[in-house]
Amino acid sequence: MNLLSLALVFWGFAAIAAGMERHARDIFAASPSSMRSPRVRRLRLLAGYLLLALALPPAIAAHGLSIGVSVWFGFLALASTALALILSWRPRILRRVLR
Amino acid sequence: MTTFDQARPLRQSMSWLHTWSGLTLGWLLFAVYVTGTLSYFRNEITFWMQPELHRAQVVAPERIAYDRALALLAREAPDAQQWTITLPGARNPTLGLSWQSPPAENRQPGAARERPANREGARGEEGARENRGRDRGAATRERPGADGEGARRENRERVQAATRERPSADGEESAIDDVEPLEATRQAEANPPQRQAGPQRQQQGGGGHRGPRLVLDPASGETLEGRATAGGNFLYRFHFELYGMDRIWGRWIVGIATMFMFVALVSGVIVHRRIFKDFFTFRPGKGKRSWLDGHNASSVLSLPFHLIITFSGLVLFGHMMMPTAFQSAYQGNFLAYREAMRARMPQSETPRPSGERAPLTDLAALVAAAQQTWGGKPVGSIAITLPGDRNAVVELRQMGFPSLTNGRNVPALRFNGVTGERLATPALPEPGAVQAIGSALNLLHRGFFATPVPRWLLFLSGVGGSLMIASGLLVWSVARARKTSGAARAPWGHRLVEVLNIASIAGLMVAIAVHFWANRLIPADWPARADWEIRAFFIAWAVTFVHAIARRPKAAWVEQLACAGGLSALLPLINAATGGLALPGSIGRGLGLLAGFDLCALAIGAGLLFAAYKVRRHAPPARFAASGDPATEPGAPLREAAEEAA
Repeated sequence: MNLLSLALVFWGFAAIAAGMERHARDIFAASPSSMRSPRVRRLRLLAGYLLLALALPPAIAAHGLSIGVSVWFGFLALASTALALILSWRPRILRRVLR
Repeated sequence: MTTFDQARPLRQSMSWLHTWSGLTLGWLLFAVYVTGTLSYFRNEITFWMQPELHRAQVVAPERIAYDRALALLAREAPDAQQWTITLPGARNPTLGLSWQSPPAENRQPGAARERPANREGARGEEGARENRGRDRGAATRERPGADGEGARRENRERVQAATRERPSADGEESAIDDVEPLEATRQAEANPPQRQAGPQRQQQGGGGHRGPRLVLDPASGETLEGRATAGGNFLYRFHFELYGMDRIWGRWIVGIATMFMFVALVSGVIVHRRIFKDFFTFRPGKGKRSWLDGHNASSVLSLPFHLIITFSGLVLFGHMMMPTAFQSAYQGNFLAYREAMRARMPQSETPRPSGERAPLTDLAALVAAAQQTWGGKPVGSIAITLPGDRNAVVELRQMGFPSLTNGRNVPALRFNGVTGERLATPALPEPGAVQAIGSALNLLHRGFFATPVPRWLLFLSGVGGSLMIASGLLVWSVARARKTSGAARAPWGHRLVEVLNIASIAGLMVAIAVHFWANRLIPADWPARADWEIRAFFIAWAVTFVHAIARRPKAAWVEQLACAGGLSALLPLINAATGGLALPGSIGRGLGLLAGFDLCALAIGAGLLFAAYKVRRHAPPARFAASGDPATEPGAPLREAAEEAA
């Protein structure tokens, strides 16, 4: 449950990053430009926020309501930090988790 | 620099506020953050610092040597009102025994004075210095005579002192009282709360679980005697009351620093223009830009943690810093206030002694039954009231706190101590809204969780916060080094900040590593060794200040980072070389807490060494190279390295 929640959070943040213009440029540098169109990016943002929300129930299932919400915030921090580092050095590996 | 009273737009004035509130107390806040972050693992640190305990074997709860433990309790405390057995768990593999002491007239004269049970009560006559000693180990206070009885008692004192903080719910409970106002204990002694109403319990002073203590190997039942050390408690106490001064003063200083932190956080959010646009942005290798990115990222990405930890820190100091509300509502009666703030467990009926002896029921069976009832959640402690009597009652408490909102209340089961029959157990109380919020802030700050995942997340966020403060301090230096790089010499203020940065960031890392080395290099039977471990910490830290003044900045950074990195990375080796359980052994035997310490030391050491390497290789950009200060940019590497270490 912990891993599921963390994976969803990471996936969600990756989608949000791919929905932002600058990061979309980095991630899909070698892909056709349709991967970076505003419509696709907006969809990714939406999907990203949805995934973040979907990560909350598994965390609560694993830890109970109060601790689960705290753990979810912790996962948000952990996943976003990891993502920021990946975006700085190896943005393209994110293509594998994003379609 | 602009003057304070000049009219400016909001963001600019907030920027001024952020810069200066962050800088003035940043060095102290860094130390508070680092030692506080390590305190999430203070049980693990304490265990590492007592290699004598590393022999403890990991066993399933049904195979614990309960018979040996009970035999020992019957020998040591036949007349006790209550025995408590703390079961081994993920955060401490040993078995702890403690008991509510018999009435004082049965004890040897002088014993009461030395008993850690009176640790708070001793404050009045022994003064502040002596009271800090209570955490460094009772052995450092007074050494009883060399006769057999004295030495025996002293040994026990050492064990008690060393293992006072236990990972169980009970251990946490005694820890909770640590941050409460000092006068509370005096009040507690003057009118003990309901739970400790019995004549025997009054002997214990304010706390319920501060009696004598023994540590056993759970498999063999053999007694283990750890060396005298403050363990992780030194770093823990340092993070909220510093050291070497009156504790109230220390708490006020940290409290004021915490307020500055809060101001810096709020103003920082206002100053940050592109909080969402730059959410994931980190551009390495670009000098000041990178430092600012790093500062922003480490702040923004764990912002909920920073806000909560700072705010709850203030709330923990609340009755000290804003006493008016509780003074007027409770007439200064801290105990009444505390009772109101907590959702209390309903009182169970206290059994009355029958006077008839009867053997105790099988504890392993009760533990198994409790675990089954709780869906596999482990048992934290077993309290046996009226041991040996026909009316004995056994209460099993769950390990750790299952919820943030219900204070220190833990699910418990009560059994008849002779027949093993299940007795009615009061249900957990429903906390009120204020109680729930207070409890959540309290428990979140302290990371009291039953499972490791939330604690690790807090730890990692704490590392992020330490990086936030360190990078913020460096941004100040880096930005100004650029502006003044034309000057022949940096202004003295910049030099001061530089020195303080080096010694309070790299130097603190050196001091912490030296503290752990001292733990192993000072002989286990050295007088006042627990004090010397702490002195080693401060001596090393002082040396790094002198070093930072004496050396050129770049050399000072490199040497201190390398020194800290080397010392940290070698900790697993010195652990193995001085009687501790080596890394392969701790992994093989499933002692995750020990392996975790060694692996973290390795990772942090590697990170610091990497940082030293990057700073050493760093060449200032060409346009600055010609002029003065070579440490214009001690380097993004520090951050990267530390992140890697995390």
